[in-house]
Amino acid sequence: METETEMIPIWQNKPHGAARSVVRRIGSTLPLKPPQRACFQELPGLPSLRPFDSPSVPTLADIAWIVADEEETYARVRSDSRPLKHEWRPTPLLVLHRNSSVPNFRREGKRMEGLKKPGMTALNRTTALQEELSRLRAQIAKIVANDSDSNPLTPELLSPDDTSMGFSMAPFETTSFQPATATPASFVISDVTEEEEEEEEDEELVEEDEKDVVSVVSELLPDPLPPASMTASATFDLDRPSMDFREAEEDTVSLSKSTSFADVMDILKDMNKMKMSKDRYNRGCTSLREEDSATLISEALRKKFVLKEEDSVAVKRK
Amino acid sequence: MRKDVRILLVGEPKVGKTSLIMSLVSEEFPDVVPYRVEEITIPADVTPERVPTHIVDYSEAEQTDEQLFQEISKANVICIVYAVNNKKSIEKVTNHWIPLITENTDKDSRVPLILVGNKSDLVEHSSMETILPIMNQYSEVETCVECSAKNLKNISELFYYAQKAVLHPTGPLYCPEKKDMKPLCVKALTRIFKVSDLDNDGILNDNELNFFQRACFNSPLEPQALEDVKNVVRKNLIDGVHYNGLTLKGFLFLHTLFIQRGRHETTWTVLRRFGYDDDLELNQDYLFPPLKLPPDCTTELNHNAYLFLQSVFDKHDKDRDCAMSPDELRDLFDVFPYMPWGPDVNNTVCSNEQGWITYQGFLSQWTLTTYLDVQRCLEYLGYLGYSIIAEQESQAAGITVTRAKKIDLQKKQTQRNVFRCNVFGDMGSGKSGFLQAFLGRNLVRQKMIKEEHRSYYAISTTYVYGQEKYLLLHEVFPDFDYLTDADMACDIVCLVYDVSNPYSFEYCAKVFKQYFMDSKTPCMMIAAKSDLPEVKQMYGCSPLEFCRKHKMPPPQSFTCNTAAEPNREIYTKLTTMAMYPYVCRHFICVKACRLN
Repeated sequence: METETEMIPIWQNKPHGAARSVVRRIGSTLPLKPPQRACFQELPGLPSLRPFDSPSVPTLADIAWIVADEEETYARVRSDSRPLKHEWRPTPLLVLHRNSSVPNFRREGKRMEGLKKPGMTALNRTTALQEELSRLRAQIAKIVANDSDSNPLTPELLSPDDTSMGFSMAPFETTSFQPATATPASFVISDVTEEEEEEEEDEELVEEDEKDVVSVVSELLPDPLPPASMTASATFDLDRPSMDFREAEEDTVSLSKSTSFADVMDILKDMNKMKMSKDRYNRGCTSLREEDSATLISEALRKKFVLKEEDSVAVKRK
Repeated sequence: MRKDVRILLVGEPKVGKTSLIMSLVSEEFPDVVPYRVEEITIPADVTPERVPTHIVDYSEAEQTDEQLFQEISKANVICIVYAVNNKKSIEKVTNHWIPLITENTDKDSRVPLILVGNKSDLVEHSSMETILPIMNQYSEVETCVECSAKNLKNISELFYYAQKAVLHPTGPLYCPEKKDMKPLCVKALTRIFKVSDLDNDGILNDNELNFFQRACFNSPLEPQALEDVKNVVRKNLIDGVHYNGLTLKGFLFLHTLFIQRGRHETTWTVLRRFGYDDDLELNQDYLFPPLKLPPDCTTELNHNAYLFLQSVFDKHDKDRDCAMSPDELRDLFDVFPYMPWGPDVNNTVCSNEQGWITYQGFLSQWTLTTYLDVQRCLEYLGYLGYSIIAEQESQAAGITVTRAKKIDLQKKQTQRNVFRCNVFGDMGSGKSGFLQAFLGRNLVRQKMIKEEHRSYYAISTTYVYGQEKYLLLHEVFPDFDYLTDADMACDIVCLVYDVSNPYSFEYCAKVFKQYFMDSKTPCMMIAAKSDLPEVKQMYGCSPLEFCRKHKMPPPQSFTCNTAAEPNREIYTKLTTMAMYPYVCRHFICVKACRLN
């Protein structure tokens, strides 16, 4: 059967618009809300970061350390009337940028990088991972708690032992890609807003999203940076660990998708009582909760594997 | 402050000049270097001081002496490099390089020098001990630095100090021999202290210190930092802190401390913020910001400027009598380089029984200065630190330029607050009496004024339909062959004649016919000295007929020979006529007759 009409490939039959590409068509059918944009709020009381301000002019506020300043023997200005020190010691290169009156986050970050010893990085990484983990668990709990009728959620996200849960759960609640380009946190992006969003929008969105969660998950896997870097307000400590984080992520153990979501839900229902405290760095509290969530989740998985066996048995029977 | 910096490196061969430059630029030590690198320009945003910087290398092998001298004359700062492990290179600093540079630069524009000790990685000890005497001996040497191009130690610091030597020189500020700030610097800082002392109690309290910090450094002063400041001063000076505030002594001590710790850029920042240039004079841009004044427009102070001047008056009126005694006035003008108001000002504006300028008189005089000479007014506002205290862009922010008079007349409406009245009259007709009466002085009081303190201006306020307006009276010299345009330009004209002098009116008639008969300016005839017996005027017609013929209001009787203050109605009339010149003259005539 020959068609007289010319065949136009699917990507050319519309001049433009959502129907033109496969990706766009998928995107237009997915009920994705536009990403929640980070809101920057200028904190009162902090000086505005002007690009033209010379960073190294000491002000009246620096008088304390200027008086005590006995260093800098590598250079001496004419008016310097301090007695010359006889020992010559190399001074850190950043000695000029010690302006303590202004809490300049950029500089503080640099300073910390310069002075940090190598061993610290590993420690910080672990801490960061732990925090990430507890945060994700709490998020899971919330989703589960708020929606009991939703579709199976892949347990890829639920493994407690796999620290490679690099991509965040946040998208499933707010359906937002956290701005993946974690901006060098010169501003304190309020953790508060994130959580409030989670709490408020949970109920609305979770139901819609659960169906598409599966497909979304695959798209989300290559999410470059976890929210960990977003919430690192004043330090760059987590930058490096998060980068290593990413590598671990790629070696993710992918769990089977066949687990029933409902079982886990039951167990995790208890977790909805435990809301994440606004102070994420309050490790004392979170560790307790972590244990609870960890035990609960591990219990759930145990049950899951039990079920699986039953299923396979059932299959065999068939 | 300079807008860019040009650094020249000189020194004996093989000390490492080229290595230093290459290490700075590439951030690694080059194993092989050419004799000389080409001039390098570092853009502003990369340099610590945010100023574009040019770095010039020198090589004896590749450049002639002429080229060297040329580079020396072009440079803003010269780094004389020596190697710390090479004694000869150090000797050459004093016996060759410094003399050479001195010979090739003007005595008046000395180039700052930096002594750079390279190759500090090769020795255990410091060469500072050897070098410091050189710095003390030659006053052009600003800094001595030790660095290592190989280990990349202190390279950027070196260039930072080079920039600093140009942008923040120590020379004008401090005298290392006397270990004290130089007199000009002290004078400038004292003035800054006085301007910042908003309540004039001789100390900078917490609010004032906070304001000062914000004005100079754009950052607040946390409570802890405030305490630090006071503690440091308290520890080192007996009377640096008084009633929990910083005294002038303490303030000067703080700056000495900054300078003595090598942080004189702080003091420069403060000085520059308050309008000083590198010679420690108030710079012209600060004192005379551009202000466009189209023709036919006038200048007045705006509301913010009045508020500021009120606060200046309050701050200096120590005895709270709403008048400025001579001492208080002197204190007020202490921040000026000269005394701007002479004794004639006391006779231009309202004053109290002692002859001291009152609060209203103070503001009136400022209004007069703004109206007649706005550039001078800007200068005065600069001395008072208006733009800093009122947090405005420049002194010009305190001035309102009114719209052209033509447009006011067209629209039959004016937004102006100051109106000028030129007063004409023959000698002895009573013009001065008319002016002084406006200031509330009767004849008896006027007789007490000294000849040399007399003024040809009088300014005060009147109320027109509930609005307060300024009326500026200007007594014009009665030689009408020499009347200038300025004498002509005004909002209303007064023609004064002496009712007891038969020849007095003729002058007024002549002036009117020559200059004002065909102009739109409203005119008013004043029959002065009306307390004296009236005589017939030797002129063609009587004053009343004259006024009627030329559609002027009838002559207004006036006398300043009263027991109490003279009557002020006439001035209100004048101001009203100046505000509404288009109103039917007939109406004014009728109204004026009734009031008469």
